[in-house]
Amino acid sequence: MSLLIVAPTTREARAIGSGCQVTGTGEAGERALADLLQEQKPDTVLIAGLCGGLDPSLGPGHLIVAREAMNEAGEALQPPAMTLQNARRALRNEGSRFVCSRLVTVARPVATRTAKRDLWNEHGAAGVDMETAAFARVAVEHGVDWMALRAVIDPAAMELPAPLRDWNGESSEFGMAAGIALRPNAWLAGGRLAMAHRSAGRALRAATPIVARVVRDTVPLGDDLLA
Amino acid sequence: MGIPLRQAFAVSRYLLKQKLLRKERYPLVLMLEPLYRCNLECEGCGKIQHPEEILNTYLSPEECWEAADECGAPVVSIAGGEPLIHPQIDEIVEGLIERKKFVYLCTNAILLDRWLPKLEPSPYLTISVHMDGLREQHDKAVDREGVFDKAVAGIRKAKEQGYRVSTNTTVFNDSSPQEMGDLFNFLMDDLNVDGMMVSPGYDYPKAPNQSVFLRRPEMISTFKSILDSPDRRRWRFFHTPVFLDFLQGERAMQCTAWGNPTRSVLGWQRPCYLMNESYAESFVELIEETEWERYGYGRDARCTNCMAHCGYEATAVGATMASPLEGVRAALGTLGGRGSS
Repeated sequence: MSLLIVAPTTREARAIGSGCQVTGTGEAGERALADLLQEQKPDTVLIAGLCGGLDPSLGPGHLIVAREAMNEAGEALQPPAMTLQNARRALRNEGSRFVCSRLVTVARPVATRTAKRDLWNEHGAAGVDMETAAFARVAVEHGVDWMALRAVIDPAAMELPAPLRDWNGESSEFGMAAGIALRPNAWLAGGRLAMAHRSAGRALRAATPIVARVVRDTVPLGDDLLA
Repeated sequence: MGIPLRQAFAVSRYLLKQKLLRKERYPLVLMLEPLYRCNLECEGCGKIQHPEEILNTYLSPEECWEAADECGAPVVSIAGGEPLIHPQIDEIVEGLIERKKFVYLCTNAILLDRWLPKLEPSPYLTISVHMDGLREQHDKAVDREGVFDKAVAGIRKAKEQGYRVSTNTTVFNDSSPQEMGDLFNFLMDDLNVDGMMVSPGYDYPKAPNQSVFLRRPEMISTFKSILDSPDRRRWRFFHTPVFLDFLQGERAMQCTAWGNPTRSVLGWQRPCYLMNESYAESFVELIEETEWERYGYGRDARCTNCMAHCGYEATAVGATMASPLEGVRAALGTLGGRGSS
């Protein structure tokens, strides 16, 4: 099966390694993904990247394989069950720290412990990001299967430094970094986040090839066998 | 929290030992089900729908003690079924106390007066009586008239004879916060129980009445209403403050399914007290070969509406041990006796 691996930002794509395409975020990211799907016509797209942790048992670098991607309105999409099952088994055999759970996609960063707790209580999603549900919808609209793999960067108990709370894509990152540098009270949180970023990046780099291999090797059952 | 000082010390010592041994997964409470047979058919129970040959199977005292030794948890909760139907329940309890286990003997109290002469009061023994409401509500939940009065009489008698008595209340969708408050006042003030436990009902697929269960958001708002009562300070719960925060949606927690492993007549139940997917032959097999990451809120649809203490109290205890502030809060609850906020 042919596979396209995408990540929303250059930073995430760099962590994943070669073969990962950068889409960007927001509506521009959705358009870029649609273009890639039309150009490359893959059977499956693997949406990879970082996310915020909502499940309080997950720490930085814990992986989440989406068994469902849900937007804030509660609309949910599921990846193919057999590929998901095989990915779960492969990650388990490799000893990866992961859970199979729901990812919820929101429009703005979820920065505080309270906001994360409320989202967890409401949706029971292990992680939160700003792209997966929208990207999964684009894939479905193009008749392409999808899988999503995210690594937790900021766990449920971690508050994001104030300057990062308005993050809206890579273009805003330089200003955010400057904002942290200029606020001594954000240094500690910024330092913690940098360390968490390293763990999450490592986990993503190790796990993406495992999931990619599974996706490529999984031959879907024909409709006659599923009925 | 209000659990006895002796138990609080023993459990703290045990937890510290597990930390020092760097054990990732360890049990806190052994849920021992020496039989599934019950003398009631409660509308929210999913434990008693087994075929006759299983209902007629009882664990021997030796099997119960072996389970306690194998598991090593400092607390043993004897549930079922109705444990007081077991003809050797006194021997089972005695053997567990000899092993210095803190035993919670869970009962509907229908047969309690028959057994009291054979059970020795002990700081290691707590008789935990099932109480889902005041008379009308409780008798409806257990689907038999007169059970509430029997339970009240049993609690009074046990208290008179010097037993430690607690209650266990399951909150369903028809449990009004006002009535729950009245029940807790009655249990604390009139019956003078040593402590209370409370948990939302788990939506067992096999329970006779599926309409009684709360969904998670309803559970949170119901518990907020119950615990917002001005009488709250007088209620002594055998729970950590963290668990009570969780019930009110003020704390995010994931289930610790291995914290309360279950040994029943069918073996070591996998993955938890409430779900029976399969059975392991030994405790080690249960801990080492269960794919624990598959279970919990957000991971398994069957866990969506579960906020039961058998899954989350172990998480709460872990969180209490990890935070000095929470540790002080729990200690104040224990030392101060009644209620901690």
